[in-house]
Amino acid sequence: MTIVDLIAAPFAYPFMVRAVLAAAVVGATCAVVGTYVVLQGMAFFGDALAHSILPGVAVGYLVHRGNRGPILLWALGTAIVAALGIGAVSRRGRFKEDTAIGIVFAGMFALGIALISTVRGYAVDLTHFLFGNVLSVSTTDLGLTTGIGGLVVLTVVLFYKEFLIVSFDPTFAATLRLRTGLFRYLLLLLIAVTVVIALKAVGVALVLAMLITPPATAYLLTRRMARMMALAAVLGILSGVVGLYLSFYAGIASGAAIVLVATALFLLALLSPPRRHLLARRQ
Amino acid sequence: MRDIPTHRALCSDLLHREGPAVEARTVSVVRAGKTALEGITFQLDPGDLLAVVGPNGAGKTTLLQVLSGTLPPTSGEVRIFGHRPARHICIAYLPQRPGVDFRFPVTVADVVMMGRTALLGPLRRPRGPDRERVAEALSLVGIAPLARRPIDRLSGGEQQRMFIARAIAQEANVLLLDEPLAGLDAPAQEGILELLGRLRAEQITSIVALHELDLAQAHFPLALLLNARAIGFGPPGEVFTPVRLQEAYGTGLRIFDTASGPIALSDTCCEGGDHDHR
Repeated sequence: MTIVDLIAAPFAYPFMVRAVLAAAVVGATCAVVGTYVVLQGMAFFGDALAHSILPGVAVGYLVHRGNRGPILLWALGTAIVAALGIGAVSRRGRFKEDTAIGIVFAGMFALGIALISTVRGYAVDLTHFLFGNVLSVSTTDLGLTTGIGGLVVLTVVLFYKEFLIVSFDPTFAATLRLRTGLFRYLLLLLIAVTVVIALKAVGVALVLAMLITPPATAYLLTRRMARMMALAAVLGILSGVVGLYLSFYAGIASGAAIVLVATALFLLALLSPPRRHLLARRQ
Repeated sequence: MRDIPTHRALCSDLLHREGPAVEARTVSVVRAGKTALEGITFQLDPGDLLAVVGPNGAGKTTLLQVLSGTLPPTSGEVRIFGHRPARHICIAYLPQRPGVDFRFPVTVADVVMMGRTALLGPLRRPRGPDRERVAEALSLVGIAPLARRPIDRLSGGEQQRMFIARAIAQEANVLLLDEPLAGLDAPAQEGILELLGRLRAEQITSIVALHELDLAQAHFPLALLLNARAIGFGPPGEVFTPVRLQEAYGTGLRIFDTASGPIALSDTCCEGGDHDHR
């Protein structure tokens, strides 16, 4: 078997083609949005959001019985409710933001588990939600994922300079009379949407890795915002594709394989001597 | 009609008006039941350079926030070229602690380019003229060679210059600086003071909160002595009298009469944690 055969072999299966495409789209979208998650220290928020989606997924599952499209919309609705809820609770409450996040996150996650536990065969279903199953992505799923992912990336690109200022220097954004509140909520919304489309690929438990590991790796390699975002997207796609090969040949769960590749790339960048960072040297 | 967003047009229209650049009319601020500012009234013409001095908790930061339009006064009003400050972008405000994460992956030129954002309006990318304006701003503040440097490798003085350059790129006509000299060594302080002098020639009106009475005396044509109320406003030589300084600083200030005139010793600086008025 030649190397070309090894690379081409998985593509003999249509489900693998769909899986690779979905993993690449999810990898890129997560990385672009995740750049802001990393730079603003919102990792806990991203993780919480992923877990908060569970009740929406469960309700969608119970109502629509195996029909995947509507479940995505239920998840999206729940993510938006959770994102806005966390924002509102932390602004209105007198405790710190991580407490607000923790309360909303744990409460909604518990509600999700409670709902799923009312269904027969609940262990199998729960596993899919927690760890994803990119190999079962349908053509409809892939279309939805690509469409939504494209919209998310387009929004980030169109409002690049506004998002940059609002996240870098909120006081300055206010004196420029930018609508900082609007852009903050838009960013929360983008994170929520991204988490939902990533759910199928890597599951609730591992979405966080797709959001923060590729951008963190890119941060080690470059000190320019736009370059960091582009490099993170490339690393996200690479993790998705290589992860699926790993899953195909080594028989490892797909979500775990993708995250392990992303982590390996991060460690490689972290442990290589700084002087050898090609992109950093150019400055 | 020129190809510029309306708020930009408003900003330049304001400049050609007659009348004061900055006007505070009986501005009072009450925060958490405490009076932070009381009946502050003064006027500045375009190109004026004002030092705001007073003890910790005198309301220097609060005054700058009100002037910038980020904090509405409890009573009284502020006019910038005859307009409310929250309605246009002629003002640049540099907080004492610039709420900025210096690990952000941006260069000095990237930060200065942020000043162009509101002028560009949404969905527009910086173009040639914007990059020229950024280059000019960097030269004016004397850090042109640092344009491509990541911001985590700047000294305190270079950081201040970068933010002032951003204000110039923003085409701000009013510059509000909160303790821009804090933590800088003497040469860096001199550099910033000299830069403020040069900005006067550009008709930029600057208001600078300061701890150092001697620097206010030596480098500023105008001073506002503040302790919630305006204790004195005018040329520093007339404002900094022993009686007024004692009134502003109370027991925190010792005044000695020497052969060369009165010397004021203040121990209110650097108490730490006292600078926030939140």
